[in-house]
Amino acid sequence: MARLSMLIDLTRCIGCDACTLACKQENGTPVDTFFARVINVEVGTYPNVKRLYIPVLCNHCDDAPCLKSCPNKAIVRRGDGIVLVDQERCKGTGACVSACPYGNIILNQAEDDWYLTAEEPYEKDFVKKRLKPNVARKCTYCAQRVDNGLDPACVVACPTTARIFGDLDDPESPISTYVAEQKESTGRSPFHLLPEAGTKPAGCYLGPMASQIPQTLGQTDGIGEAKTAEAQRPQKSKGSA
Amino acid sequence: MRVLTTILAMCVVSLGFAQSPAQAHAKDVFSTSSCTGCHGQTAMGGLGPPLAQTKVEEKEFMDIVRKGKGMMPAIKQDDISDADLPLLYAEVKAKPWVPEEIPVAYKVGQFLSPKSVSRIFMFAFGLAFVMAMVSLGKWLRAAGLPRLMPSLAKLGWGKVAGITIKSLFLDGFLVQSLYKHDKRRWLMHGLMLYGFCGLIIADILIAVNNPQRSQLPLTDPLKMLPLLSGVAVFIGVSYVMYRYKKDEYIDNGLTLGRDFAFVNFLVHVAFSGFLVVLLKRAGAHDWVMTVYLYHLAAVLLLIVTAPFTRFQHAYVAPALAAMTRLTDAVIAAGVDIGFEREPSPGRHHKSVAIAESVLSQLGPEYEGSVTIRYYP
Repeated sequence: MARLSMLIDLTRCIGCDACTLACKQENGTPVDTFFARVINVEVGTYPNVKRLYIPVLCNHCDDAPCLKSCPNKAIVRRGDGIVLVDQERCKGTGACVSACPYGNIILNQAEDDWYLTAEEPYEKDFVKKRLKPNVARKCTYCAQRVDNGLDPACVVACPTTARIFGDLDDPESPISTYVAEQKESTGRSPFHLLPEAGTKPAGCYLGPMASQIPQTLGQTDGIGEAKTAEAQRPQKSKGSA
Repeated sequence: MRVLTTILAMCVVSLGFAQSPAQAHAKDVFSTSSCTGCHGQTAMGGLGPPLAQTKVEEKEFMDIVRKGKGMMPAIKQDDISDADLPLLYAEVKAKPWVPEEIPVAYKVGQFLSPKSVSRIFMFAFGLAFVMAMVSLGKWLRAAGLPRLMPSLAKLGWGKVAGITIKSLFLDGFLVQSLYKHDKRRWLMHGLMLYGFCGLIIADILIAVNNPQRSQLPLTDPLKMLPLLSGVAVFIGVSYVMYRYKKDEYIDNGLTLGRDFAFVNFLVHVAFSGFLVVLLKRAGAHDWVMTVYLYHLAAVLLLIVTAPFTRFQHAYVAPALAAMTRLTDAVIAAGVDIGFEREPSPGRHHKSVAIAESVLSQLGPEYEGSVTIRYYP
């Protein structure tokens, strides 16, 4: 049994929103619909301020509240952990929108505003088939790509490899090796968003290493090893579904 | 689930045999009456007390028969005529007192006064209600209601109440989203929803207007309402059972067990309810009380498990849908942070919650006020 998950390393994220755009391009989502977005956070008061980018997307929770709240059983959890909203089955009740503590389910009650005309083959044959009007939509971990052995679009597009995708149950997967490697080299352990919500998300994060940066400038003891590990790009996901 | 069903069925069977086996008494008013169901064929008691050698005066005896007492229903003329009543009294009075024939069931029956039964149900209902409210509170907190409160206050509480009630009625009670998309499923869902409501209303009306549950003609509104509601629930739940076999979506990978538990309990409630009516009409008096007790147990089980089974959707889905409408209204009124529309209602507040959660996990150097920046 696979457990697909995405790790986002906040140290690597530069807030470029390439993931946001790659997602829109891959899924053909209409105006105002973002499955993958980046929260721009400013923390503190001048002069002690920090900026943090938190890329967010559906966490494909183990105990998904959207799934439990759906009165129509339109949300299903696949064997590999991907949580999907069935576009045919969904009746647009809207319970899941509020139920998701992360705000990652989108339900447009009005008419969708598309970028391309409906006659375009891309819209007609690919997008509209998977995005029905007035029903709930969300990130699918690019299930259509994963099923074909590819990584999700946002993972591929990330210029800094801040997103690592793979099977948590497989110790050889890119995500498992990255987690193990980071634990050893930088002492960071992955954490989840809103653990108090009790949703057991698949998506996890590694915090920034801001406090370690001055050390890398002045000291050498034990730093070289960490730098090397940091420089290593994770290998391409085998894609397991 | 099958194990539970078997155990329940065995309980019913054993209770049934706990009563004295039927003995043929030709032209015997007592043994051919519905009395034997609770008082036993030899009048040495069943779930009801022994009547043999009764010390009750004839006048009081007839009064109890006609008006009922405790769990005993009032018996009308159609069942035992005025002419038969003195005969019945005489027969009962003449029955031999055989203490060893007092069944175990009587010990159970002694606890089943209307007071104790209503206490059990009130306690179960209260417990289920509290559990339901606790779980609903969790859902609404996770949905970000506390963060939305200041915006709701700005919107005006009158408006908030109006939107909430309208949504609970349209999205909840009328299930308009289902009606818009799939009328057949709406009808099947409605059979259960409105049938369930009908049963609850019927129960309240019966408790008020016919507390002794005396036999009513089938055409009486107090009989029609629960029967029709029961039929509706039964058809609805049978359809759902069929769907559990056929529908590939039934297993969403997370809640199948809880979902099926609810449907299964509902089947037991509806089926045993009908069985009581059928047995009563068919004159199988020995079985009426035991099946009725089984019915009560099934209802009790349905109530106490409600906050943990599929029943949860009956209050969680409407409440969350109402919250989605409220959040939409907040954005539309422009009283929040000034978005013209929010693709996922409530997303801004949830983003703040995410940011605060991340920062709290990152350590003391990330403490401070949080601002989310949006770019036009």
